[in-house]
Amino acid sequence: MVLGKIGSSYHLDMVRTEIEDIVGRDSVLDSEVDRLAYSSDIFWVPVMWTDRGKLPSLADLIVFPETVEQVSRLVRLANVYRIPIVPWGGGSGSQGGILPIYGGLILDIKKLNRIIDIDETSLCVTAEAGINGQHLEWALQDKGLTLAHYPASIYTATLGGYLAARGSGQLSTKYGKAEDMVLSIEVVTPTGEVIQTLPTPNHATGPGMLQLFVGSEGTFGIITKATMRVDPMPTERRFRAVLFPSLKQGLEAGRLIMTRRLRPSVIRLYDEDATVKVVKRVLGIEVKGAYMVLCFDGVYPDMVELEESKALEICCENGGKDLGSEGGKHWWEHKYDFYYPPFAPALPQLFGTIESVCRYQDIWRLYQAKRRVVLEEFAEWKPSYTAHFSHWYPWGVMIYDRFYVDAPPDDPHEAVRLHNRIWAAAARASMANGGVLNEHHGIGLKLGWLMREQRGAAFDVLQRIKDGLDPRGIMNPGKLGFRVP
Amino acid sequence: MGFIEEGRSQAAIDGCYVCPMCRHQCTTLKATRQETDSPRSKALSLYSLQRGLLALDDPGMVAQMYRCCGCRLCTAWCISGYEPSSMVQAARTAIVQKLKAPQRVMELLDRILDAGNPMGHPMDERGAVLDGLASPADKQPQVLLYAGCSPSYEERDQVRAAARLLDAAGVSWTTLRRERCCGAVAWSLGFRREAQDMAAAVLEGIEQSGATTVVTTCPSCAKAIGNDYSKEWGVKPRKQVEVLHITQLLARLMDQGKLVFKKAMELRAAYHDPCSLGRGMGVYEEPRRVLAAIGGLELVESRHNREKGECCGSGAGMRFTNPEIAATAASQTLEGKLATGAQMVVTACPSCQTALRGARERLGVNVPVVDLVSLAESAL
Repeated sequence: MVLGKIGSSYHLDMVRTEIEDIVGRDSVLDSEVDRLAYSSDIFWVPVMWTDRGKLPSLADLIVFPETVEQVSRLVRLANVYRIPIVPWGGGSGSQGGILPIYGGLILDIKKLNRIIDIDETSLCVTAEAGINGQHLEWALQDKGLTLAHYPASIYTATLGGYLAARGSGQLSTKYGKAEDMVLSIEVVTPTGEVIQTLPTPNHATGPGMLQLFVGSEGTFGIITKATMRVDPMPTERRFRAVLFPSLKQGLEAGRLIMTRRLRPSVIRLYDEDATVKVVKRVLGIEVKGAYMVLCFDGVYPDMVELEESKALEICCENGGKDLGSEGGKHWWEHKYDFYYPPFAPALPQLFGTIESVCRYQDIWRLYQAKRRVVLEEFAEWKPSYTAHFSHWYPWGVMIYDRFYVDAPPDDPHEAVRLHNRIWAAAARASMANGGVLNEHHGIGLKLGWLMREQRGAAFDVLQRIKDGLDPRGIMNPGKLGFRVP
Repeated sequence: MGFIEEGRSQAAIDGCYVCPMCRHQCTTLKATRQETDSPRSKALSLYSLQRGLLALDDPGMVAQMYRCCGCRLCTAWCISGYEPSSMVQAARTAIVQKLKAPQRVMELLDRILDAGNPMGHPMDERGAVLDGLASPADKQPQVLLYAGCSPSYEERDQVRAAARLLDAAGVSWTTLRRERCCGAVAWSLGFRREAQDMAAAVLEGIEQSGATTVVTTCPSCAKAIGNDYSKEWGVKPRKQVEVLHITQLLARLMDQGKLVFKKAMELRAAYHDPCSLGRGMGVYEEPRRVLAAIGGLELVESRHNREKGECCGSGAGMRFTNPEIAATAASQTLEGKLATGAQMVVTACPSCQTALRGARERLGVNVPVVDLVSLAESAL
């Protein structure tokens, strides 16, 4: 059974004719430039690969369906010829989830971008999955609403991408992740059926199918439409910056804020190294210790103020020094600056964001273990390590940590292997300390090989679900660690 | 790769090839939804070209580089100020030097060179736009009214209204005896030598006119003559003249008490910032001041305005080389203006005017698209 590039050149033309029959001639691209444009997200490996003068994996064709019916017909056609399909939204992922490593078709869903309905009674929006995140947010804001999902990728990512990768926004601590906001989705399954999950996410109507597709990164089908919960745009948003003498004290303050069930929209705590490096470089604030940004918001200013004051009490009881509101406001106004060049990490550095999530009881141990493994086991490469903690739950917290190697190997093959070794060591340090591989970047190509370690026997069950849903193995092959037929 | 001689172009390639932070508002990408059209993808292509993975004369690469309207919205959304448009400009120039410019682009250049305007209208009909208006003053005129290509043939009301406004304010004016294209379109397409020749001819005409101030209704002309000739194109005037867009002069005349709008208009108007006037020249307030001076007119702002105002899609030759993309962009931009509930959309650029009026017809809406100069004249 061969899964890979569409065969000979005339075969490609034969299949292309059938594809054009579905979407029209103008909706199929195949030039080298087009294929290159769809050859990388922001995963370090394909970016480095191009930098070293090596051509990344290319799709055979890029196709632009405009309706769910067209998506369905394309998927059915791909099954006939066993052609890989890679769904593409904004291409802003960091895990290689949209890389066409087995060639085939890119299905760019950005033309599925209509807002179907804004339900101002229930506070829900239904939109097609290809809509740009910022465009959706603007449309909601025009009605005094917000999705309250502000990921760094908001200018690029699509609604479908939010859900396919289980994305988090900067306010997720209060408003939840994409997976918490979703009520219902429409999916084109790997065999081409168009299905709709139940209208509400909470029910007692048997197993929930919604969350089976959320986070499946295109391997279980293509999300084409979603209904999301929205929120009234807060009329009050209060920021605060707090400086702790140590990260450990900051973590304890954050834990107490959450376990006493205050509802901050932001707790963003930087470790000591990140406070010195990142906070100074991007925000221009020069302090030592562990820097925390807090935000409370809502439509009742007195409640917001009260929650903020209680959180500040907790911070002060744990050694925190209130730096006032300016530092927090400044962060909010510059919250995306970290992701622009020259502030984002870039070549020639080797880097990786090895984020993970765990319970509060494990976080200090996990942080220390990851930091140690990166700095000590790879000392010959003079790595550096920073961390912040930005998505907080009633039960635990996500650590957004990153390693950097300033002078990686010149040889691209060696560089990839070093990249993977550091990743594996950090990921295993997480898993050994109660952590889960990540919280919002997804798995993609990068971490698929660690999925079996992460999930154990449960991965075999997931694999059988995959086999049942996608018997021809065409949906985004090579991702999430699933077996390639 | 030798063609990137300018630091900002190389900086854009190196900064943008991995950054998608502006693409949500890229005029071309929003119209096509194709990743290839994003500033990031263009930078990635040039980055790959510099590493031997692509060839400059690859037809896909050539087409990609000509799918940009030079609106610089990408730069407006970039906190670091990278300039993908300069990178595209450099690539187009190199493509031209390799004689690989697409057919549509070559045809456009031919029209500019043969007819003196991008539309290909007869050269000898150009001066007729101001026929019948007040004769240029006997004494040395204060202002040279440079009509521009589009107002000379298609958006004639604009330049005629401008002339009447100057008359009303007591400003003496003249025109060039043989006006030709300012060269901005040719430059944007990568034809630097040809554009420089056109610039030299325009500057010579201005010098001969004796005027100390040049006024245009077209922001692209104003930007080219007043800024780009000397700062970008390397064509320096022998004598410095002041170059203004008509809205700048109208605002100044209002301040001097020479221009008063007597007629009131009870309507709600949304102003569309032309890219060349706004992001190009930094002129955002003067047009708004002129509109605000018209009694009864309520100015409403769309979500995207001033530095982040959306583009009509016409720039950098797109109206001619990629009319389908330009038309879609114009429709999207007009929809943004209509979302304000405005009863009228006003702009201050002939190209925007043509594009938005076309979009109005395609969308089948009744809200008029009016040029600011004509509106101001009707309020005299």
